Amino acid sequence: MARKLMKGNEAIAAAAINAGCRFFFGYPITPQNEIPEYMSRELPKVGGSYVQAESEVAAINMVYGAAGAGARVLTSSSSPGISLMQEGISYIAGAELPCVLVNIMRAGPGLGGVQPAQADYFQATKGGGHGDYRVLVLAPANLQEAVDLTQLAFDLADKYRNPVMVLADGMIGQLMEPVELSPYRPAFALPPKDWATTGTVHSGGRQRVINSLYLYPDQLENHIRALFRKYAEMERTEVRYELYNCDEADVVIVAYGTTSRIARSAIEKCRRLGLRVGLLRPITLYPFPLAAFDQVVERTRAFLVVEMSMGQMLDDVKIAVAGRRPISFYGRTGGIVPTSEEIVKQVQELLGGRGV
Amino acid sequence: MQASPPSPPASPDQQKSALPEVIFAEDLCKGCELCVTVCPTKILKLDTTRVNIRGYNPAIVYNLAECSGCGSCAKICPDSVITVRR
Amino acid sequence: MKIVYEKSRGLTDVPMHYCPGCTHGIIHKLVAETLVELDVLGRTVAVAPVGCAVFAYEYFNCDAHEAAHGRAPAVATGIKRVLPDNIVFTYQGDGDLASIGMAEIVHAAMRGENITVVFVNNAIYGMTGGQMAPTTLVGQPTTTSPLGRSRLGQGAPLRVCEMLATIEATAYIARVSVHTIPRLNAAKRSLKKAFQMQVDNKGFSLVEVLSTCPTNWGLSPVDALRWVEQNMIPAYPLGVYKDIEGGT
Repeated sequence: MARKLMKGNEAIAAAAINAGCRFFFGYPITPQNEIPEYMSRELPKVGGSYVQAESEVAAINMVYGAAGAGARVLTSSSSPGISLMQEGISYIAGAELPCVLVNIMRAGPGLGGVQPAQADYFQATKGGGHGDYRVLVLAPANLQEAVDLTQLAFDLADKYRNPVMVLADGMIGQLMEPVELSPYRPAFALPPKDWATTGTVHSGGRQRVINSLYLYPDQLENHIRALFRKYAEMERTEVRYELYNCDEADVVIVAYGTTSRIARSAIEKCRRLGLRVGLLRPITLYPFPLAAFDQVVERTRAFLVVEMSMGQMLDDVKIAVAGRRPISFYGRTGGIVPTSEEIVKQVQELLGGRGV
Repeated sequence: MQASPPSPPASPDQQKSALPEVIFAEDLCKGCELCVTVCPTKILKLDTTRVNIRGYNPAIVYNLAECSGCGSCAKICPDSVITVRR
Repeated sequence: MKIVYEKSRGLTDVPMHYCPGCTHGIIHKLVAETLVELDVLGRTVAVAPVGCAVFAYEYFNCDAHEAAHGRAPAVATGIKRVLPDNIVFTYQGDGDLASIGMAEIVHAAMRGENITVVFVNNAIYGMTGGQMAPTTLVGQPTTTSPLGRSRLGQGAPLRVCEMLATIEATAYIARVSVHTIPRLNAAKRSLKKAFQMQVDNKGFSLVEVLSTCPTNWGLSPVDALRWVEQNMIPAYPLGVYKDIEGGT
């Protein structure tokens, strides 16, 4: 397929269909409504099913049912709606079902605002719902990456039998950029879904039960430990990140998503000012790219974390740096998107002002 | 599975038309008495002389001669304790 | 000798954990028998509630999903959209369906989802120890209405069949009971009708079964059956509230 100019939300939806997703359950919320709207138009054309649920709570439970029945299934929402889905996500993880969740982040807390933000990092990476579990979180920075990561998300979800979240923001959702949707091939071999509840007529009478209830604590502990062996495998093999211009950087900016693109512009401006600045861009937020920091920490003098929040990824950066270098933070929130000039100014203050 | 306790010796007429079989999987009985209450000929009761493995007095037929083989006891039993044949 | 009655192969061999005399056991049997008699057991998917029947999947001899509290109709929607040729049913109590799950049941009915709902109404929250339910009768004492449900502040019971029958895309809504053999036989006929409707792709079907909770009503199992007759039936009249095939 040739490159096509698409809106971010629609590109994500198109990528899901391209990857074999035939079921979408969701509820309207700004700024991601183009996703359900696109799905309602396109899914029937490929024999799929679009259901507008009565709420995000209902939607995530429909996802749970469809995933347990063996299908590739998508839901999308924005921050407050993702809050409503947390119980369902916990159930999906506990029952070891695959699904892809898209969060087009907006400003919170509460009803908040509709402009872009990155204030759901804790919710996405540290659980969000109750209990011991993790969601694999992918953070695209541009629309082509959003397309590629959405398709990868379905493969990862099936591989690990776990929810995978594509964490974007309202800017990515609303931007229009050229994207290419290549013919889909799974990124790796996938196991058959013989655990899906297709009816005991298909399993020689063996009952398949989708469940997360274990009343005997020793059984539940064993189950959770098995989940965490999966997560350990994810941490070993699924970390993704990008290093840009870090070889001789006095300051390494740490940013993801839209903020990382703005940081890239800031780095170019810094270069023209004779300032050496690099970018460490996590692509998987869980598993967090701890090892990436080991690669750059000896070669730089300081880190500057930039987020559209009051500092959430900041905590993981502190863990990764482990006190080896100073860490500064610059955040805008409430739906404000920082400009590259603001970031340049932060770098100048860091390097010029205090003799780092 | 336990068969119902033996009923009084059958007369020659009774022997020609064999009595229904009412069989209790006694270890599953919870002594709820729903079967006792729905039996139209009132031939069921709890055997208060003993308890089953769950600690309940199990239901038994104490007068099989009056059994019509309707199966009501088996139908109402929530635990599928009873099998009826006729 | 012919079998008059034996345990259905729609049930597993697992002994049921329900209280002595609880009507869950009876209703499970009727559903299991129906699935066998309609020859759909091998393509059935059950959705279990949160409530005493949370372990329903241990007893129904088919594939099953556990659902979050109240969300069974949404889970069933997801399953049925993926597997339209399977028979999908939910089995829910009065808290699951009429309290936390009210949005899900109304909207599954609104969409006319081709699923069957078995609604077990015993006017109380059994599993959690006897709290007030939306279906608790005015004056009925529970652990959260210790002086009896008060019309002022706690309202009056919800009549689910009557409410759902007003929803246009429903196909079959009926209320039955299992407290006598004739009523039990009629309940089975209703369940069979409801599941047959799903087999025939006729749309959304729901059977509400008036049920007992001897433990939390503080009654013997036999007295609990009488309580259904004397108190629940006047509040929840039995009958067919919607039938697009025009039956009674």
